[in-house]
Amino acid sequence: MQSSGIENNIARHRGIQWDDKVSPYLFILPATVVFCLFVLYPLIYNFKIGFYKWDGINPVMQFIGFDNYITAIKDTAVHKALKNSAVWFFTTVFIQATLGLFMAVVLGKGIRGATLFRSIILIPVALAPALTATIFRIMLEPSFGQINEFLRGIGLSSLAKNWLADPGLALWCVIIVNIWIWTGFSMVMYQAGLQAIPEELYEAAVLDGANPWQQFSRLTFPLLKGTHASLLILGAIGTLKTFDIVYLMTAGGPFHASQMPSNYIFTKSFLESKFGYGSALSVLLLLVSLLVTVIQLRLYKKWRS
Amino acid sequence: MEKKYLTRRDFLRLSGMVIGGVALTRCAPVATQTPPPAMEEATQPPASPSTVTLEVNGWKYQAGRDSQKLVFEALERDLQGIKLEVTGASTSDWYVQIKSRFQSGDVPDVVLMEPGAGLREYSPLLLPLDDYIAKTPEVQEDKYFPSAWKEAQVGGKVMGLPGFLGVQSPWYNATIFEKLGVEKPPANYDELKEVAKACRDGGFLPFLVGGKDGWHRLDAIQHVIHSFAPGKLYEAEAGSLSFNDPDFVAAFEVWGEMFANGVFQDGAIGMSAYPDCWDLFVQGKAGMINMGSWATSELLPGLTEGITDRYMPMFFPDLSGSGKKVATSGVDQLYCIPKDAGLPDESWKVIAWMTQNDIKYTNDSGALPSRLEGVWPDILSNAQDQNQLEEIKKFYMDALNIATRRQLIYPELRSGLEEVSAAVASGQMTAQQAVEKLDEVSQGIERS
Repeated sequence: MQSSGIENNIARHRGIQWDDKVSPYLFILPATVVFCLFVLYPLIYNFKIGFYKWDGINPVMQFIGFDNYITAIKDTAVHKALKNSAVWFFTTVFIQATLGLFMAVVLGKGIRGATLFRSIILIPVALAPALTATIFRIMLEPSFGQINEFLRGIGLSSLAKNWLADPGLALWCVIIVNIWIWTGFSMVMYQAGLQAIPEELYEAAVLDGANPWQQFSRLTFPLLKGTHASLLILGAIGTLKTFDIVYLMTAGGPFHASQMPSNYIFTKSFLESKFGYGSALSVLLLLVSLLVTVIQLRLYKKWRS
Repeated sequence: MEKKYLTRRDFLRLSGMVIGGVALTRCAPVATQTPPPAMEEATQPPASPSTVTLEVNGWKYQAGRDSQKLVFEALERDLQGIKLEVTGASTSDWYVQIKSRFQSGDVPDVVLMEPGAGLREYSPLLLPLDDYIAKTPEVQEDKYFPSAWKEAQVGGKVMGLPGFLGVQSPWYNATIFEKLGVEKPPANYDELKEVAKACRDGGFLPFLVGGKDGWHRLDAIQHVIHSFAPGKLYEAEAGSLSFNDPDFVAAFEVWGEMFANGVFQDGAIGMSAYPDCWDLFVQGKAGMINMGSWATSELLPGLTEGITDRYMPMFFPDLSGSGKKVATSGVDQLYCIPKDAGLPDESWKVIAWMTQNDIKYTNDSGALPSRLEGVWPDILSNAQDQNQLEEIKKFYMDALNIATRRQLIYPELRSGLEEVSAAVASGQMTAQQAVEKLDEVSQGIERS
C-alpha cells in the first residue's frame, strides 16, 4: 500500500511537472501554427525565390544568386517608388494630422452642428477606396471632368490641367485624394486624445493667465504626443501598404511618376511575371519597413520617457 | 476529487490522433467526376452515371455576364454526358487568379489563353494538342486563317485551338464627322491632324487612346511603328535587327508628337481604355478611338441600347506617307487544356466543339471567325442597318488580309514597349532614349 502511494505521488508529480512545462506551449500552439503557416513560411519562401529567376508558374526555377537584388538596387523605378513613398509619408502624415487636430479642437469647442460636421468629415474613411479613386479619376478627367469644368467656369482656365497625365502632378493628385480620405480618421484619433486631457489642467492654466494659444501649445499639443506617435506609426504603415488608390487612379504612371513600392511589386510579379524579382523587391521593402519601425519605436520610447 | 493531469503519454496520444486525422484527410481521393446520383439526389436531380463536369475558365467569363450562356447550353446539348462549370474573373483579376491556380496545381479542365507572350509563358504547363488534332478531321490547319493557326503554336506544337479573331483598328463617329464637314476618315498624318483640330474646334475630343493601360498603348504604338518600319518590329523581336534602327526612332518621335500636338485627347496618358475612353466615345463626345473589331456589336444600333450615332471602323492613318495600310490582328483567345487536367479526352471534346461553334452563339462582341468557313455571330443579324453591317464585315475581311500579328511573343519586350511608350508619351524620354532602352531589353531576352 505504501509503495503504491509513493508511486502515485511520483506519477502525479511527473504529471504536474509535465503540465507546468508543456501547458504554456499548448496554449500558444494554435497561434504558432497559424503564424508559421501563413506568415513565417511565406516569408521564408519569398526570401528563397528572391534568389531565383522565376515566372511564377513554371516548375523550373533558375538560381541567380543576388542578381535580383543588384538589379533592384540599380532600378530607377525602385528609386522613384522609394522617393515617392518618402514624399507621400511626410506630406500625408503632416497634413492629415494638422487638419485632423484643427478640426478636433474646433469641433470640440461645442459649436453648433459639430456632430454633423464630424460625421461628414468621417464619411470618406468609410467609403471603399476603389469607389473613391474611380470618382476622383472621373472628376480629374481633363476635358469633361468636374474639376477642370469648374476652373474654366470661374475664369481660371489656365489652372485646368491634365492632372493624372502630367508627371509633375499625378503623385500630388493621388496624395490629395488620400488626405481627403484619411483626415477624418486623424480627427477622431485627436478627439479621443483631447477627451483624455483633464479639464482641471486648463482651469489651472487659465488661473495662471494662459491665453488660448498658450493653452494649446503648452498643454494640448504636448499632452497629445501619444496620438501624434500613433498617427506617425499608422502613417508609415499606410504609406508602405499603399496600393489601391494608386493602382486605380494612375497605375503608378505616367512612367513611374506616381509609382509606389507595393504597386511596382505587383506589376513586376503578376503583370510582368517576374516573381523572383518581385520577391526580391518584397524583401527589400520588408527591410525598409523594419528600419522605419525601429526608428519609430525608438522615437516613441523617447517621447514617452 | 482527483485532478486530471495531462501526461506525456496523453499528449503524445493526442498529437498522434491529430496527425493521423490530417493524414487521412489528405489521402482522401479528389473526385473530378460528378458524384454518383445517390450522393446528390437530396439536392439535385439524378445525373447519368457517365456525366462528367468540366471546369472552363477564362477572363471572358465574368460574374454577372450571361452572354456566354447560349454557347454553353448549346455545347451541353451537343455533347451528351458533359456538363460545364464556368468560372472566371474580371480581366486584371483573372491574370492573378490563374497564376495562383497553376502554382497550386488546382487547374481547370479547359482554360482560355491569350496568344503571344501569355501562351508562351504557360505553354510548359499546357497539353500539346497535336495527337488529338491528328485524329480529328474537323480540326485541321487548313480550316483556319493561317495567322490564327500560327498563333496557336509554341515551338512547333499546337498548344490551343483558336477562338475568335480580332482586328485592332480605330473606329470613328461618322455622325460627328458629318456635323463637322469631314467627308472621310483621315488617311495620312496631315489629314489626321486636320480632323483632330476640327473635332477640337467643334467641341469634341479628337482621337481617344487609353494611355494609362499598357495594352492600349501597345496597340497604338504598334500601328505607329508598323507605319514607319513595316515588318521591322518582328525582325527586332526575333533579334535579327537592332531597335536603334532610324525607322524606330522616327516612329517614336511621331508617337510623342501625337500626344503633344493634340491628335490624341488631352490627358490621354492618364486615362484608361475602359471605362474612361470607351464611355466618352459611346456618349458621342469624341471623333475617333483606337479599338478593334470586338467593339462591333456594341456600336451598332439595334444591338446595343442607346446607340444612335453611326460608328464605322477605319484603318490607322498612314503616318509615314508610305501609302501602305496597317492593321494588326490576332486570336482573341485560345482554348487550351492544362497538362494536369483530370479528364483530357473530355476536355478535348469541349475545345474541339468550341473552336468550331463558339462564334455562332456568341452575343456580346463583333467577333471575327478564325476558321475559313467564316461563320459570323448570330447576334449580328439583329443589327438595324444591315448595309452598315455588311460594310463593317467587308472592312474587317480586307483588314485581315493585310493585318500583321498583334501579340508580341516575349513578355520582356511587351513590357519594355509598354514602358517606353509611356515615357515618350509623357515627355520623360526622347525617341532615341526609347529605342536604346528597347535595344537593351531585346539583348537581355533568352530567345528560343
